[in-house]
Amino acid sequence: MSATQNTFVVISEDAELIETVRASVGANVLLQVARDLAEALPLVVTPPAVGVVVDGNALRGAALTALSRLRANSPLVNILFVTSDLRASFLNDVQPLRVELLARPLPMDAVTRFVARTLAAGRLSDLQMVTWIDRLASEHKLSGNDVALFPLVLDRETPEALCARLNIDQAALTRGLRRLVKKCRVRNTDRLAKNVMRDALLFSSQNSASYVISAHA
Amino acid sequence: MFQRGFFLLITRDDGLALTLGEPLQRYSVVRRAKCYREAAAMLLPNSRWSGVVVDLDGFDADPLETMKRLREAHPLVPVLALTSQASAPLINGLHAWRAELVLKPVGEVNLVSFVQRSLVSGWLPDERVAAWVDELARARGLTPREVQLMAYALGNESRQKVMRRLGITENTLKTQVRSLLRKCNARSMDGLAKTVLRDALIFETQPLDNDHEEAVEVDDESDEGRVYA
Repeated sequence: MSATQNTFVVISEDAELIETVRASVGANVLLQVARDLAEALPLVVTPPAVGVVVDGNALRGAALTALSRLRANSPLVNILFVTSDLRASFLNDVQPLRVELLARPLPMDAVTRFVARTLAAGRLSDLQMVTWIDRLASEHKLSGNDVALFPLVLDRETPEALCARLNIDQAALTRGLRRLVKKCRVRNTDRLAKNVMRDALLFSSQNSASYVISAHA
Repeated sequence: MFQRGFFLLITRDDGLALTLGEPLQRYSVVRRAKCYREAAAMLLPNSRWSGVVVDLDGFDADPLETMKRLREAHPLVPVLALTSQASAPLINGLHAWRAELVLKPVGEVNLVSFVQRSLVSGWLPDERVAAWVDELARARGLTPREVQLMAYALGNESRQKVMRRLGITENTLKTQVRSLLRKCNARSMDGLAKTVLRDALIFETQPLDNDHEEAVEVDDESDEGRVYA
């Protein structure tokens, strides 16, 4: 399981906005600055960015097309659009694209809040998964051999690679998986994988509710 | 009385309630409050709404103060605010309290996108999972019922409870699940839920041009022929 550095992209020529985003993301996040959509698209897609801040002024009137292209290329990236256009038709066209909106003049901390929420929500980290698997192992008395099968259950490793790593054959792998699902009292490995990801997410997001309130306190 | 999967619609306007009620009811049960005082009694912290749609026109309270109180009681419930006029302070205030904004007249596309994500959030409060199901629904042409079934699968709801909630027979459920699995090229509801979670939470997700890959089939009991948990 490998860790990837989070990437944020800002599309703007506004030095103040860029600096606000830079200060918000901190030193552990890679910030990429683009002047327009064409320059930004490859930066958003590879490696996948977690968040994009788009300055409406940088899109020169083609905001809706640009946001649609951005969403089509990156279905899950969090997008914040800083707009001066308050027309009803524009705002309603943007909403189904799951784009968050801020209007100029920007309120203090609004960009910071977006960045913090994007980074906090994000993906399930390897650490969260491992922590949850540890809990599961203790709860269901799983052995080290059982725990070693989780990369396969979670689609992080192929059966062939796992067999090679553990030096076992296909029959032993199948037996091990049967033992694992029985110990965890689930019907199959798909259900086990779903439960692990779901419960790790719920466990790690217990703090989300308090975060939402404290962010505004 | 307040179940997960229910939507709360707060509006004085009977015409708007009728217009919005119809598409909302395709996805879920809708309860209506005519004013915030009435809504406040329904928004108790232990109630579990899937989403709240609030009409800010003619509202009997300060919208942003209301959002604050709503968030204190329900930090994660999705909120859609409707208004006739947008202003920078309103847009920024709603953003601060994580409410989406749509201007009247409300298009069905606006409502559907919000409702699909909210249904999923009601079972699993995560933006990425909700967004991914919304994306999947659009790309695969899922019906409201199929989105509901997906949300139940993510919520680990049992077959019996799903049938009771939807008021349908086992055969109807099987038919609807088969249709969903066929559209999503999945073999079981567990497999589909696993793929959605994996794509949304762990792996780097690509646009939905290609079908999902088949799950590794190493089950203790095969899921083939089994259409719901």
